[in-house]
Amino acid sequence: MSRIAVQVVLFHSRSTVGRLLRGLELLQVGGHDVTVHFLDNGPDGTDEVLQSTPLRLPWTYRVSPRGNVGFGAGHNLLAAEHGGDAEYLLLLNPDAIPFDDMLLRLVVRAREDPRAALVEAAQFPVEHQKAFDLDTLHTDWCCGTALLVRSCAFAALGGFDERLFLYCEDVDLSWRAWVDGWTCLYDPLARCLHVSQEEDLGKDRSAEIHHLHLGGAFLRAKWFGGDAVADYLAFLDRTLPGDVVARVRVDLARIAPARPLGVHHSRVRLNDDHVNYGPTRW
Amino acid sequence: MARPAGDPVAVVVRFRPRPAGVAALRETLYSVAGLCHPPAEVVVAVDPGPHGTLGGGSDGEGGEAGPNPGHRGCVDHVDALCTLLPRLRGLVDPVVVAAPATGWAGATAAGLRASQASLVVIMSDAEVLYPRQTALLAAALGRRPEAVLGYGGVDVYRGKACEDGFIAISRRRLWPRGVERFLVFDRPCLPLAACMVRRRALEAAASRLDASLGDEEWSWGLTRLLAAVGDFAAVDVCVAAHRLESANSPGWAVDEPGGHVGNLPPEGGVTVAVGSLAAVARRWETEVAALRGELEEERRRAAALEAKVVDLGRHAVAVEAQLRRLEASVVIRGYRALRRHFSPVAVLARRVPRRRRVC
Repeated sequence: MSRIAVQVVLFHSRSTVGRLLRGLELLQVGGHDVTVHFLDNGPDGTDEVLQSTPLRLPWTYRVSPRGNVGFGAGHNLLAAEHGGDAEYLLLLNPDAIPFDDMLLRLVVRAREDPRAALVEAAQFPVEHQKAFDLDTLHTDWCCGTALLVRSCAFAALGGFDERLFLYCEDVDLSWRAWVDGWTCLYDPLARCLHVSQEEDLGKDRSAEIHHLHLGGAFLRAKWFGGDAVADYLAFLDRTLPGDVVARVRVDLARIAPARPLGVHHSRVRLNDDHVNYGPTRW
Repeated sequence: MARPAGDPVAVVVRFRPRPAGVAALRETLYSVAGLCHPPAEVVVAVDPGPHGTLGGGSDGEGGEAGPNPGHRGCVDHVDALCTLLPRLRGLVDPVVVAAPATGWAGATAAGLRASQASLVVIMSDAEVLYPRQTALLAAALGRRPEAVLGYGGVDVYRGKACEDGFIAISRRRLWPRGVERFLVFDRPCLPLAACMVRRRALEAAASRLDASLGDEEWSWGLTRLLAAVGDFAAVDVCVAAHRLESANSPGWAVDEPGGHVGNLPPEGGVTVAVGSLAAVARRWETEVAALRGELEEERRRAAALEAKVVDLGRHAVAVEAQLRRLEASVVIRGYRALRRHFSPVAVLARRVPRRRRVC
């Protein structure tokens, strides 16, 4: 039996958290001691939904003490508060619905490979295209939507890089795990329904798009240096409006490290399409 | 999640009991649970297979899926289905019915009978819906009241199906932009999971199709019949995924955006690779000949009815004339009676006191 802390960082999640709670209610936990912890980066009455929805798993809820700290910092905060005595953390997006057997599958994978720091559940029904090894399940990086994290590895790696507000912090954590001798796994049969990207047709996604590209540029600055950043910004210049790229440049100058890490590892690699990291299946 | 306003949608899933079938159905139902425009009704139509092993009414009507003791294999799959549904309770709660016949014809008939929504999605347990499928297609049909079918693109995943689910190895995108519906008569076909059909049109078309047609022939036939009665409304988004085992023969080929694949002509559209086009053509010729025969028979019946109507008309005229004569006769007799009643002699006779008359 393991102690598992399920971590959910909320942001304006009132409309989506109901289905997550239903998924958590149906989640098989085996004999594990599972507690769910919510951190709200943008309260909008989500706590009322939590209070009014029955959940058999014990849970906690708190509003972020520092406002919207972002995805990675939010999980770092939760891990610092609740992850100390847990063997595993299960990171879940508020717009995700875990399949009922997802957690047990992820734990089995983590136990099979003691060096696995991260075990990712496949997103469903629109599956991520990144490549993985069918035999070892090794993959270059794990997405944070539904991710089992070995607590001791998370602590040893120092958690997420909080300079990344949203997007790419999971790629960075995965690369650091590989470099430090851990492995990253992708279990295609542990599944998590992820709907929100598709859901709000009229929603303004400009902030998300900004952070997506800022994250991409930061990752290149941190791991590869100037040429990779210049190449990426040139790609953005070709594909995005000028004001969007200008804002990325300004924010990148504020957070980018002075020198790249200069680490060479077979798993730390970009993709020529400028969108993916590492090889893809399609 | 609150159901958005709009026409209600029924999702009919054809479930084929087989190894890994319940695992596939589970994923299909999870995808239904993720729909932004949740369906009003979800029906799982259990395909009885070639030997009709799943019970139901003795007259072939669909009913609650029940085990038939003589066919343990299928029963095991239905038992697995029964253990699956509680694991999804609250996310998606389908009605399970036994299809009256194998194939798309039976599943569609059972699904239509078990649902009422005005818009219908029919799909197999090898397919999953993307979250916006119902929202986009219902909106497209809402904007085009004359359209009978809405459709979008499909991702075809190839991979390994196992007892625990499907592992995707590769993906190909079927991008049916600007399908000209009349081309459906020539060669292309739309994957059913990427479509939404108006119930009335679906009922009319499905009832005309030969239930013994193979899966691809039936779905092609359906789109041909629908194309004959109404327009198609397209959305420029992939709305569903079809999963194929790598060993399977290619089911679909498609023109990619900005180009085309294989030896397909470049005009666009989705094309289905049917096993034998000649066989399909023969079936259609037979059906057309049968329909022509029916039409001639109907014409003969109509002519006979028309003659009968003319006879009846003549008879009605004669009866009416007789009635008028009778009426006139009644009026004259009444007039004479009144004259007699009010004649001076009769009046005087009534005024003479009875006593005097006696004296």
